[in-house]
Amino acid sequence: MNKIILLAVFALFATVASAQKYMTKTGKISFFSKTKVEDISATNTSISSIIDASTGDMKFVGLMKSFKFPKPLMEEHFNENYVESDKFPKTTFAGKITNVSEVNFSKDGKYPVQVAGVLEIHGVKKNVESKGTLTVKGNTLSADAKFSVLLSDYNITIPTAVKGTINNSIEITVDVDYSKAP
Amino acid sequence: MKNIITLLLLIIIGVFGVAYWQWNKPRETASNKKAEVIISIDSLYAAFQANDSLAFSTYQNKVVQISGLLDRVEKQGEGANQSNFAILLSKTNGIEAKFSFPDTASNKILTDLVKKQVVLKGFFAGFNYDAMMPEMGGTFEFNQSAIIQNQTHE
Repeated sequence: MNKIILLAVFALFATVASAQKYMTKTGKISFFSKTKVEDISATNTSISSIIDASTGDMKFVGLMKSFKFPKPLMEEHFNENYVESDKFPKTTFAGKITNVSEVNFSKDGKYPVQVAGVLEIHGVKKNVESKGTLTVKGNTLSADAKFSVLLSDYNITIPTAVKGTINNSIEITVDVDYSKAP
Repeated sequence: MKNIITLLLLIIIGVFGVAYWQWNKPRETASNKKAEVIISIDSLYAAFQANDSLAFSTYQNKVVQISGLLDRVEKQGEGANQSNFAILLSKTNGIEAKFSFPDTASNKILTDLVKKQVVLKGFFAGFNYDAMMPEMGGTFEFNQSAIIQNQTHE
């Protein structure tokens, strides 16, 4: 009898745990850099991401070639000269919401969160931390965050010809809407 | 002296003209390119499962043509930032092919083709998959895509 109760409790926990994942394949990540010549911005709307509400684990993965620029030439330079997309086709982030216990996933509302993890760009992994907001609305979840990274941290070299005009720091904006995993 | 100044002016105008054209040149689309690879999503997936880096280097930047059932059409963003996508499903659960289209006109045509057999081609951008997130499945992504309504037009 005890074994049956134990199994039932285990099954219940397993169900709850799987129901606490939120996923998307259409996450949006943009970046922006102000330059003396022209502002540089690009957006990728095909980011795959998953958040485990029970542990706070979160992961993002996207293709570098899916970042769209206003000008085709910028996109070409970005892929060929800066991030070398043919060699390093993906960008990933694996981290954790460090204050996940402060988020009530069953109550609608906006929750300030702290995220820490490892961001990989151009084949280089670096620890990053950011503040953000999680918005719970029914079975959906939205994550918003803004943080800056240095191109030099990811071994992205600015060509000498444009060195004085391109900023080493770029601002990354995360805007992802999730649905509860089935 | 006058000839030298005219020549210099012509060179300067030429350089600026080329730079202006380069800066504003339109995106290259797959519509006027012949498909270099014709493959099914499942065969593409099998190639990535066998050796993902070899498969990526084999298909990267190539115009790849895939036929299949159009599952859905997605529109993301607004105005100049609008992106249009057509998604074909593989027989393998969670694996799909996502074609991005450069124009809103394609979105309208594609909407009428949902749940019908289509043939699409686009520049292969990669396989968006992470072994640490198997429940997410994986997405083959294609850029600057085009609809091939009838293969005899190829």
